[in-house]
Amino acid sequence: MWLDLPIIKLMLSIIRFFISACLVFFALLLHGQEKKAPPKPKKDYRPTGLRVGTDLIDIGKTLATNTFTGWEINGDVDFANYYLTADFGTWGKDILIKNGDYTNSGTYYRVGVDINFLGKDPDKNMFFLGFRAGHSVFNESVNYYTNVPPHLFSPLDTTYSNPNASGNWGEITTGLRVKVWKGLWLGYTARMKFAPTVTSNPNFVTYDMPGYGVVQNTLWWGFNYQVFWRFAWRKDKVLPVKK
Amino acid sequence: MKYAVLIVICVLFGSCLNDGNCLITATNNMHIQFKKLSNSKDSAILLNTVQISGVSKDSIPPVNAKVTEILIPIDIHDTTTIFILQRTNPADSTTHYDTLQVGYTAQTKVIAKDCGAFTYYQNLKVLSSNLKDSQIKAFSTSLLTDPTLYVAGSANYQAYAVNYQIFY
Repeated sequence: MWLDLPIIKLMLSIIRFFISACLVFFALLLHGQEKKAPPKPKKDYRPTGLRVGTDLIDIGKTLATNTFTGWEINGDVDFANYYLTADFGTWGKDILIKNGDYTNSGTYYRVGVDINFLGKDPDKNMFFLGFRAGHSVFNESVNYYTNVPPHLFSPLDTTYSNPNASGNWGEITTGLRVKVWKGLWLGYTARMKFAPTVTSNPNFVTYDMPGYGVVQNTLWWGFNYQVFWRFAWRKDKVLPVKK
Repeated sequence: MKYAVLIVICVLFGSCLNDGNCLITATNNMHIQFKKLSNSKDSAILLNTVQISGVSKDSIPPVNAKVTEILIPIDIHDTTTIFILQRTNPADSTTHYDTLQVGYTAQTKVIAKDCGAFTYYQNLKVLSSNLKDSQIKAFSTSLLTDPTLYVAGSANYQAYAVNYQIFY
């Protein structure tokens, strides 16, 4: 009879719930002991190939315009989903400015690391983010005409040059690399260039640094559309875990 | 919607390609203000003529006016310029010749393809003068102008950095 009391019914319900919860908990615990999560395969950092390419935009600009001449070679080596990357190029500009002309020519290189976010792709296709440090060695010259009001002085033709200028900058990069056929790859790289520094003639402020662009723009951008050939020397495979 | 995204991208990249306005701050005009040693409110002097080395006398029109400041061009072909200011002392109507030789360096900057290259004059300093050191107070060592304050056809002194104050 006392079992029909509401308070006793409530207590019995709580005890039943507690016992059920304990049973479920122990069952899960036993299940977990039986099936351990499979160990993560150890990353293989040994490189599997060298990818070498060139920038098609630079070649196109060289062929299509008479104000730019240049080419660029790009290369990278994989270390799992990290890529050590290096670029080397030349860059020359011959620009007509409003009151004269400006020319420069030089070589540059960039080195850096890309991180591939498609690390599990069997073809090693890439969507990457990376960083580059750039260095340029170049010469530049400008020839311009000055005729200032109120024209008390005769017009002045000025020529200045920076024969042994050099500079550095940094880049944050992103892009794609897609395997098209066997060793043929296509891809693009978008670059946000920043923090240019130049060592040059103090009487002539550097205008355009090969590899970087207009130096007055402390934040600049660049874009490469690239074709690559990948020389693979071994297949990428997952190493067994050491016991 | 996709066209809107395309337009936004075009505007963003377009702004990267745009050279912007040609705001040129370069000038070869040196800005001198005249002050009275007596701290008088009327600091104007009666300036008759200004001679500038490298310029024939006939090329510079006489001033013959009371002025509180002047803009005088430095020689763009040289790294020094000599100025001779001929003024009249209104107290005794005597004529005085103040000589000022200044030196400077030139720096070339290409502003943009559509703007051109310009010479910026810097490190301005007095090399010699018949005025006492205490009469010349130096301010900006660069010759600069603010293009946003420039008024065509008139000498807007406010648009130019003050280089020297000369005390009489």
